[in-house]
Amino acid sequence: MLSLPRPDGGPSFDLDAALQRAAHWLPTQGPIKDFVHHNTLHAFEGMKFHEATSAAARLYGARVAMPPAFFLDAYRAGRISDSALDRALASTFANDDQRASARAVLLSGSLVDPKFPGRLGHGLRAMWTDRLGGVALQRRSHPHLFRLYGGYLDQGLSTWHMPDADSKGLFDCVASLAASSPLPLLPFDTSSARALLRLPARDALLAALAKTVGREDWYEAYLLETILAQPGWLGLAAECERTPGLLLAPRKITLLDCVAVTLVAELGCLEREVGTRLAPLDTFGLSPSLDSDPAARPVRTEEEALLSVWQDALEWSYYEPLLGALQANAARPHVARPKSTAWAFFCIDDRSASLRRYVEELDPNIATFATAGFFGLDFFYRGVDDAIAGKHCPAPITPQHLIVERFEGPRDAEQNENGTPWWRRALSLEAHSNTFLRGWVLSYALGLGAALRLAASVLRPSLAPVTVPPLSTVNSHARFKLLRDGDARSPEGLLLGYSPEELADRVAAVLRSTGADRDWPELVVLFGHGASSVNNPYFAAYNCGACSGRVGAPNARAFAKAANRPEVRAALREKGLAIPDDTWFVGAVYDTTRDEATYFDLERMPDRFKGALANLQRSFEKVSALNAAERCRRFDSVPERISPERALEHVRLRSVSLFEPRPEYNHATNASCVVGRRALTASLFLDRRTFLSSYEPGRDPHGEILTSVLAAVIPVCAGINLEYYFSRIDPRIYGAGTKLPHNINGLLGVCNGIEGDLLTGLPTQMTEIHDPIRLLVVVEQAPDVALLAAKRNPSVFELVENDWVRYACVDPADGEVWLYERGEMVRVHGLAPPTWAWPTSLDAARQGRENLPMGVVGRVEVARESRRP
Amino acid sequence: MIEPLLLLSILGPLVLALALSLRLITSERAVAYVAESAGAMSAFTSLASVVIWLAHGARPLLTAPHVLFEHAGYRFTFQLGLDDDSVIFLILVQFTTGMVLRFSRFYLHREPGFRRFFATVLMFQGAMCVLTLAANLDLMFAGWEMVGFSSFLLIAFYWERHSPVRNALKTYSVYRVADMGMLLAAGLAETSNHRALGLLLLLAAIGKSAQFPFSFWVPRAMEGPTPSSALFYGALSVHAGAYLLLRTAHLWDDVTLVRICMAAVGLVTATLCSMFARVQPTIKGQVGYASVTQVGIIFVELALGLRAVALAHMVCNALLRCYQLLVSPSAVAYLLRRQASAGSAQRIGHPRYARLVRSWISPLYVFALSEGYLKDTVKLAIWSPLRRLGRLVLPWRTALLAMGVLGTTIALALAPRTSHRWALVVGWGFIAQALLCSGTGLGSWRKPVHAMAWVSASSIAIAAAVFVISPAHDTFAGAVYAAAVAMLCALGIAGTSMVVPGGRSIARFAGFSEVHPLATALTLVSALGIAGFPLLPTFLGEDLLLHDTLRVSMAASVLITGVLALNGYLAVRNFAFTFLGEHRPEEPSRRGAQVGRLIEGSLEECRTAET
Repeated sequence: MLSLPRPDGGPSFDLDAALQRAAHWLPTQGPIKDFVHHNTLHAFEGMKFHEATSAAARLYGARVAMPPAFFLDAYRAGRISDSALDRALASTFANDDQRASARAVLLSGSLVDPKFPGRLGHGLRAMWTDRLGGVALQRRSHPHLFRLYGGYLDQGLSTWHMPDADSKGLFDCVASLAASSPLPLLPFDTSSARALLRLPARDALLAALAKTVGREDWYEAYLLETILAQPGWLGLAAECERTPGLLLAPRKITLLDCVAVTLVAELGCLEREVGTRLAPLDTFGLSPSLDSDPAARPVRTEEEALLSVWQDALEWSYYEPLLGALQANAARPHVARPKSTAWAFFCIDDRSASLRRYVEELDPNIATFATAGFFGLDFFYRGVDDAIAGKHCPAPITPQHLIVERFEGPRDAEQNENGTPWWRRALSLEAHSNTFLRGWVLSYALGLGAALRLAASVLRPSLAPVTVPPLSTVNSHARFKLLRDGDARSPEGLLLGYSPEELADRVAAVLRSTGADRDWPELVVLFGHGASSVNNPYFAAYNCGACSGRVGAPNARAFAKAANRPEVRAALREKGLAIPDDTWFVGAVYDTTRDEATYFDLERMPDRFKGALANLQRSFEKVSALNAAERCRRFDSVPERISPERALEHVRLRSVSLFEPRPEYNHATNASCVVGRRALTASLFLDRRTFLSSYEPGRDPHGEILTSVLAAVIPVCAGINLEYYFSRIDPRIYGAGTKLPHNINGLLGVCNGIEGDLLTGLPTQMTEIHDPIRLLVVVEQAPDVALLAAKRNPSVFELVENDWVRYACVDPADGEVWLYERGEMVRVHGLAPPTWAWPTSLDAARQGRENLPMGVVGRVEVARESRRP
Repeated sequence: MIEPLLLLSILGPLVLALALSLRLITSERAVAYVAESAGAMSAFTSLASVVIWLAHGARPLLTAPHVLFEHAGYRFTFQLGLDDDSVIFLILVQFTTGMVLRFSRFYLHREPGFRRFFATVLMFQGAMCVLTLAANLDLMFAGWEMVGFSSFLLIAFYWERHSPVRNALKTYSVYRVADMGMLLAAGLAETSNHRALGLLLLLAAIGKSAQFPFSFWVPRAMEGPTPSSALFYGALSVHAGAYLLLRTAHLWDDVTLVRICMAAVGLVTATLCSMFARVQPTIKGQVGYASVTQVGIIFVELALGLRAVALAHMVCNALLRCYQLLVSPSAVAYLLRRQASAGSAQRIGHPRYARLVRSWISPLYVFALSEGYLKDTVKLAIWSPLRRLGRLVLPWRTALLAMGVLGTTIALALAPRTSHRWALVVGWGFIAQALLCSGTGLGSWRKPVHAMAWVSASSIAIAAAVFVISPAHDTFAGAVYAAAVAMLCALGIAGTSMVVPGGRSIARFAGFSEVHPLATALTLVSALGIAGFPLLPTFLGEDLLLHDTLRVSMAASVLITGVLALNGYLAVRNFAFTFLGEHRPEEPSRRGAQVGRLIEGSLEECRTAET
C-alpha cells in the first residue's frame, strides 16, 4: 500500500490514489434518514471472516469478538453445546492434545480478552504528538472541525447557514470565511494556516503534509490515521461524494476538501499549542513500522484463535438443531397443497416469519409466500410526503424508473403542514422559538402548552405533532403513475413509470421464483412492511431492508396494480403465466411496530372479491394480536404470558410513546435464512430469527432462479446480520453506543454531546438482546446446483467463500443436508430432529424471554415425546 | 401543618437518594418504584402545603426558625418560606421533575446506570426544593451546592467516555465561580453593604444561569441521557440563578449599579446567545442556547423590577425547553417532513442583521460559530494563569512546604500577642501559601495522592490564616474546618492510594472506578466534602471561616473563598482524573503467554493444514 520514492527522485506521492485507498477503510453510512443496513466491515470482505475481524481490530482498535466471559456464560447456560464446542475445536486444532488443552483453557475462564490499540493508538500521529510534548491533537482540532462540517453540511437544522455552502466546496467555503472575516476563524488564525488557506485545496493539503510529516513515503500512513480519527464525518463525506443525491440540500463535499481542512486546522492547533517547537514528523528520527497494510493477513494471536473457536461453537449450537429440523421436515412425505382461497405475500424479513406462522395456524385456507420486500419492482419513488425521490429496492441495485405519487383532489387541510399555524409548529422543533424576540413571545405563549403536551405525552401517550403519522393513517387517496406514456425521462434520466412488458417481466419473475404460479386463489395480498415509531432518529433502520430502509408500501401497491392491469395480464399470458380473471391482487402494508395491516386501493376492487378480503382481514386482526404477544416476550418491561389483546394494546402504545427507546426489537436475534418451499419450514417455531424466502426447487433444475433469488436475499440479509453482529460485539467502535444521550446533528446523523463525531452503526438499544451469530443461508436444492447458483454471482459468492455467511443446502431429493466448507459442499451427518414441541405458537411464545430451542408447533406425533424446556 | 409537609417534600427524595446510592435497592423495578414514589410523595406534600397555604389566605409565610448551629455570632438557621414566587417555582420544580422521573423510568430501562441516575435525580429534586423554599441564603446555598453536584454527576453519567467527564468538569468549574459569589453573599447577608451583596449575588446567578461570559457551558453539558439534559439545562438548573435574583430582590433593588450590571449582562447574553443558537447544527445545542437567551431576557426583566413578568417567563421558558429537549430525537423525522411539505429541501438563511450589508455575513457567521470566543476568553483569563501558577510552583514544592510549617509555628506562637495589623500581614502570608499549595495541587495531577495532600495543606493554611486574621483569634472555625478537611483528605488519599499507590502517576481519566468501587466511593465522599457538600462538616466550616474574616477584610475573604472554590474543584477533578474514563490495564496479564505455550505451534500447523 505504501508508495516508495521513485529512483528518479520525481514526485511519487499520488494524492488521489492515496485518499481513495484510505477512504476504503471508512464506514459507508449515509445520512440517517436513509439508514441502510450493510456489512460494517464491508471493506474487509475479501478476507476470511475471522481474519477480517482480527485485521479490523488492529486497524480500528475494536474488539475481535464478544468477550470470553460472554461465551463462558453461554456455555454454562447451555446455549453452547458440548458437541458444537468439540466440532469447533476439531476444525481448528489438528491433534487431540491441543484440543484438550485448548478446551481446558476455554472452560477455565482464563482466556484473556485480546485488546488492540488500533492504528490511531500507536501510529505516526501518536508518536509525533508524543514527541511534541503530548499535544492532544484530536481533542484540540476536532471540535472546530466538526462544527465546520456540521455548519457546512447541515440539511436544515440551523437557521443561519454557512455562507455559500450551496455553491462552494468545503475548503473554499472555509477559506473565504477566514479571509473575509476580520474576526479570527479558530484555529486558522496562525500565519501559516492562513497562508495555506489561500492555496487551492489540493496544494494546501500537500503543503500541510510537507509541514507536518515531511517525508513523502510517510504521507499515506499519516493520511490514513488522520482519516481514521474522524470516521463518522469523513465516512459521511466520502459516501456523499460517491453517491450524489444523498443530500436533500446538495453540497459539493469531497473527502479531499475535508482532509485539507483537517490538516490545515491541525497545523493551526499545533502552532497555537507548541509554537516554535513545532517540527515535522521526520525530524525526530522515528522509525515507525509502516509495513502494516490494513488489508494484509494479520498474524492472529492464540487468544483470537480461541475466541473464534467459541464463536464457531456458539454458531454451530444454533445451526445444528436448525439443520436437523429442516432435514426432518424434508424427509416428511410431501402432501399436495389444497387450493387456497387467498395467498399472502410477505417480505423475507425475519419479522414476517412469525406472521406467516400465525396466518397458517389460524386459517389453513390462506397460503403464504415470501419474497424480498421490494417485490421485484426496483424504482425511485417520490411520495406526496417526500421532498426528493428515494430508492425502493435493495442497496446494490440502481433503478432506472421513477414513480411519483400525486394527490387526486385537493390535499385535505390536516395533511397540509403549511396550513398549521406557526405558533403550533413552534411548539415542536422549529427554530423560531430560538431567536431573541420571537422566542421571547413564544416562550410566554407556549410554556403552558408545553406543560400540557409534556404531561399528556408522559401520562397518556398519543400522537403529537412531532411524531410521524403511523403508516395506517397515511392517506392512500393519492395515485401514482405506474405505466409510462412513451419514453419521457425525468431530469435525472429516469423513466417515468414502466411499460406493460417491463411490469409483466417483473411480476412473472416474482411469481415464478416463489412457485406461486398455479392453482390461483381468489385473492392475492402483498404485504410490504414498515415501522412507525416516535422520537427515534433510527426510524429508517426499522423499515424494509429490501427497500433501502423505506416503507415497502409503494412496492406492494405497485405490484398489485400491475398484476391487476389488463395489459400486464395480457403480456403475462404471452409468457405462459395466465392469471385467471377471478383472481385479484391487493397491495397492503404491515406495520411491524404497531402490528397493524393497512390495505390499499380497495375502492377499485370489484365487489365479488370483498368477501374473501373481509375473511382475510378478520384473520389478520387475530394474527396481529398473536404476533404482538409473541413480540412482547422479548420486552423485559412487559409481564410474561401477556394476553394477545393486551399485547396488541401495549405495542400500539409503545409506538407512540416518546419515552420508549425500543419501539420494537427489529432484526435483533436474526441468525438464519431459509430459501425454499414452505413445507421445508412448516410448523417449525423459528422464533423470528429466520429470514424466509419462497423458492420452488423443482422448477429450477439449473439454479438460475436461485441465483436471482440469492442476489437479492444474501446482500440484504447478510447486511442486516453483519451490522447487528458488529454493533453488538463492539458498540463503541462499530456501533453507536447507547441511544439515550444522542444528539441530532444537521439532520445527518447522531452524535454525543455537541462536539462529538457522527456515530455509525446501531445503538445498543437495538442490539442488546442479539446473540452475534453469522447468517446461515439454507437453500432447498441439490448441493451441486446450490453451489453453482451461488458461484454465478461473484459478489454473493465472495461472502459465502470467505465465511461471512454460512451456506448450506437441503437436497429435496433425499433430504440430506450439505454445508459449504473450504470450497466445497460437505455432507453434514448426525443431525437430529427437534425434540421440543408446543401445541400452539402462543404456547411457545410464553416460554420466557430467551431464545427458544428449535421446536415444532401443533404436530401431534412429535408432541408425544416432548418435554417443557 | 405546613412545615412537616414541606420538610417531607425535601427530605423524602434526599433520604431515598441516599438509600439508592448505598445500594440498598438494586433491582430495576424496585429502583423505579422507589424513585417514582419518592418523587410523587415530594410532589404531593408540596402540593398539599401549597393548598393549605392558599386556604390560609396565601400570605407570605415563614416557618419557625430552627437554629441548627450557633457559634460566636454565627448562626445557621433552618427556615422555609412560602410566598407567591416560591410557590410558583415549587410547582414548576415538582411538575417537571415528576414528569421527567416518569419519562426516564421507561427511557432508561436496561441502562447500566439506572440506579445511579435516579439517585442523582432524587438528590436534585430535594436540592431544588431546598433552594426554592429556603428563607435565608445559608440554607439556599446548601441546595445550590447539591444542585451543582448532581449536575456534575449527570453530565458525567457516561463516565467511561472522556468528553462527558471533561464537560462535566468544565461545568463544575463555572459552578465553582458561582459558588464563590454565593458563599460570600451568604456571609454578607446580614450586613448593609447592599452593593457588594448585590454584585456577589449577580456573580452567583451569572455562573449558574450561564450568562455572559459563561454561556458556553450549557450546550456542552448536553452529555447525559436526554431527560436529564431536559430537566437540568432546559428547565430547572439553568433558571436557578434567575430565581436566586428573584428571591433576593429586596437585597439589591435599591442599588442602581447592580441593576445596570444585571440588565447589561442579560442583554448581552440574550443578543449573543440568540446568534449562537442560530448556527448550532445540533438540536440540543440549539435548544440550550435558546434557553440561555431567554434567561438573559429574564435578567433584564428582573433588573427592570418586573418580577411577576420574570417569574412567568421563567416558568414558561422552563416548560417549553424541557419539552423541546425531550422530543429532540424527533428532529430528523419532523423537520424532513416539514421540508417536504414546504416543497423545498432547505431555505437558505443568512444573518438577518446582515442582509443589507453583504460584507457582514461572514464576520457574523464566524463570530456566532466561534460562540463569541467566550470559552477561549474565559480559559485564557481564569484557567491559564492558574495552570501557569501550578507549573511555576511545582519545582519549589519542598521549599514551599518547609516555609509553611515554619510560618505556622511562628504565627501560632506569636498570634495572641501581635498587633492587629501584623496579624493581617501574617494572614495574607498564609493565604498566599494556601494559593501556592493549591497551585501545586493543580500542577501535580499526574500523582493524585500528592495532589490530595497539597489540597489538604492548602486548606490547613487557610484555617491558619483565618485563625490569625479573626479579631478574637477564635480557633474554633479554623479547627472545625481544618480537622474536617484533613479527615476528608485522609479519606481521599486512602481511597486513591488503593488504586494508585503514593508516587505512581496516572494518565488523565484512568477509569479506576471500573475496577475498584470501594476506593471510588471513598474518594467521591472525600471530594464532595472538600467541595463543601452540605451535611458534611466542611460546609459549616466554610461558612464559619468567612463569617470571621468578612468582618475584618473583604479582600482577604474574596481570596479565601477563591482558594476554597479552587480546592473543591481540585478534589473533584482529582476524582474524575483517577476514577472516571475508560480503564486501560497497564500490562496485559501474563496468562496470554501461558495460553500461547499450552497450545504452542498448533496454530501454525492449523494454518498449514488450511493452505
